[in-house]
Amino acid sequence: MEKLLKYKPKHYGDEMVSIESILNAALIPVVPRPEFVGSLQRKVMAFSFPDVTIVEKKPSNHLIVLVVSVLSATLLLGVWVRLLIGLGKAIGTRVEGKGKEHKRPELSAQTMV
Amino acid sequence: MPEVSDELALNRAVQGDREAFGLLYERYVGRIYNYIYYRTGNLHEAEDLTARVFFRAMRRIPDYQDRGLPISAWLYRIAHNLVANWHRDRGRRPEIPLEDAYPMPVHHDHPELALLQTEEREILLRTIRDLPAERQQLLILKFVEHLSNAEIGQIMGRTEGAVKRLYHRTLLSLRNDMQELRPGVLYQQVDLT
Repeated sequence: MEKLLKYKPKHYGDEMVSIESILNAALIPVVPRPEFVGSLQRKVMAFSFPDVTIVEKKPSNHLIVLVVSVLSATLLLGVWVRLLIGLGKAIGTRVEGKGKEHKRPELSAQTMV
Repeated sequence: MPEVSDELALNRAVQGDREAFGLLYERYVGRIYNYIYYRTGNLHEAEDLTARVFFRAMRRIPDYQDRGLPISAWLYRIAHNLVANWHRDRGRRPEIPLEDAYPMPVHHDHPELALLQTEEREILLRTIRDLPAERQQLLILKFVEHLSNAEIGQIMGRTEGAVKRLYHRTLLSLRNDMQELRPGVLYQQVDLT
């Protein structure tokens, strides 16, 4: 057992060193094409910073439009609800009134008999 | 602006200085390209994704928040996210043949490379690409960029000790994976070196 413990770290260390040397040999820095680097630099530099500030302003405009539209929709809905309630009440009072008119002659006939 | 530090260039770029951003671009385009190249294994994708990294960085730099980390950490983070998206999308598309993906560079000044056969290198690179993303990142930063554990820790958001432990585990898993694929490859290398 002792032999194994003594042997293993040495062998293990050799293995690690060999893996490191293989990785050193295999993972070599690659150089991007100069044309690619140059053209990308031009494109990146042409990309303007002010666009970012314009984009930042847009959401605030959208927010105002959203708030105004929500408020007006609420107002319209309120008006419609009130109108419907008013209509409902008006129809209700008319029906009630007609019902009373129908009942009256019956009562008067019974009293006659 | 040859003597401008990264921090100063970054501060200027945040305030809208294009030249300062251009300086950062010149300093980091190669590193980001290398990182993406070894993560994707494809030269065309490396160019495409590198371009996307810098466009995204350019768009977001006005909102950059300094958290005491180097600019490289931020750029690697963007690259990492884009590569992750690329791998996700690639899962739905057919895989690129390895011979197209990894053209073998000729480096006569690198004696160790002569010992490493193309096939073995391909196996190794494929094995590395099968590792979890953070382990791939660690190997690329260590062996391609030759960064110290402390620098890698800053980029990866880990302590130096955590990087050391991760590195150790990565080498072990790489050894096991390679022995499964090609038993004896490592021992051949030991004998040769």
